[in-house]
Amino acid sequence: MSGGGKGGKQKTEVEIPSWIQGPASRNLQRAEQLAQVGYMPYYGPSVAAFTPMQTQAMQSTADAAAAFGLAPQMDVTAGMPEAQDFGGIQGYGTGQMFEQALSELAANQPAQAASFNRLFTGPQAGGLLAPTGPMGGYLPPQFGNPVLGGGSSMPSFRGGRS
Amino acid sequence: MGTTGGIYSGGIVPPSQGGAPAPGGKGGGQVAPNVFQQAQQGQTGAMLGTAAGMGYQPAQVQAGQIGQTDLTPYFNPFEQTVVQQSLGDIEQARQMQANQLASQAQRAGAFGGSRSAILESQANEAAMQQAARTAANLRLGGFQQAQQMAGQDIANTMRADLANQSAGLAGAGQRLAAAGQLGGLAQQSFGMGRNLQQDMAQQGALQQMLNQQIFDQARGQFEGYSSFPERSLGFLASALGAAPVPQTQTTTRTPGLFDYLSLAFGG
Repeated sequence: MSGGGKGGKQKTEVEIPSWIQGPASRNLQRAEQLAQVGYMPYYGPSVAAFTPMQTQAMQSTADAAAAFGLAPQMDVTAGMPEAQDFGGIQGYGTGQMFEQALSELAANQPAQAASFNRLFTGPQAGGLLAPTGPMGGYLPPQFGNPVLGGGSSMPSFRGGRS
Repeated sequence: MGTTGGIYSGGIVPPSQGGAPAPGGKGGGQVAPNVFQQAQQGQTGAMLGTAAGMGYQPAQVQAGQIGQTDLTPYFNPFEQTVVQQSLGDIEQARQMQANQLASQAQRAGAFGGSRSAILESQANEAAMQQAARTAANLRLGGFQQAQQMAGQDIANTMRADLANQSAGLAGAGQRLAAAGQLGGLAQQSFGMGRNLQQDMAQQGALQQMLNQQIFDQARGQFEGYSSFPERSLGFLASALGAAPVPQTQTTTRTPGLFDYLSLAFGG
């Protein structure tokens, strides 16, 4: 605070200790770095698939309905996405759908997608502070994905049995 | 759905018809019959059996009548011979008696007289009456015997018809009871299948829930990893909030014109 003029000036300063100033400054710098990282997608399993016991129970229900003429003989797994193996557990992940959505975004709104992605660091950039790539952190599958490898595809759906 | 195999033939329902692999089987082609197939077949059989029982018509029993019965087969086929033989015997006796009367009349010298003629006429009349009674009695006996035998046959036929009618009714009742039992077994099979089905669904849901929990834990661990840098930014603020921060406040003042005038004039 300072005053001046014909009556003179008065100045008041509050001094923050240097051992606080250093960490606070680095903390802000780190926050800025982290903001560059961007969104980290999850490629692991999200939903557990039906177990064989459940599938058999459903098939039994369908067979019972068929036995009484309520429905044709059918495969209850028809129309269901094929489960993937995650460490011995059958389930579904949405990572591929996420990539598919990004790919659709890049295809339909390339400028917007590129502008968005340039804001953040991508895995291919080589480091948190390295310059961002053309598509930022998320490359559409057709350009190859450093995390997933080549182009990914949507989960396949099984056809019904005759 | 076909009904090849199933409970009636004691066969095995193929997997294409809903049969499930037999427990402990090693792919030998043997499959356990599907309980719902059994229930369906049992219900169908019970309905068919019940419908057949509802339409059952017991055998009709018609009482026989003597008046409408041909008695010919019941007559003694030798009756005419017996009658003729009996009439012949009477005739022979009449002739013997006529000879005796003639012999007596000759001995009495009255042969050819009116008295002799009267005696012969009486003997002939008696013989004719005897012949008539004998023939009538023989034929009456034959008729009565034929009538009695026909009546016995009518009664026997009636008893046989009633017995057959009772047996038919009993059989129909037995079939209805069997249809009801089959329906009950079908219902029991259906309920058993539904219970097992629900148990399987519940157990499968438990397994799926466990898998889901594993997935959720894994995802939570990943999110903990990915959000850790962001959370680490708060460590400093937390540390500052926990420890007192000393602050140094320094106030400096630069005198102005009035300050100097006041000092000079002793104000």
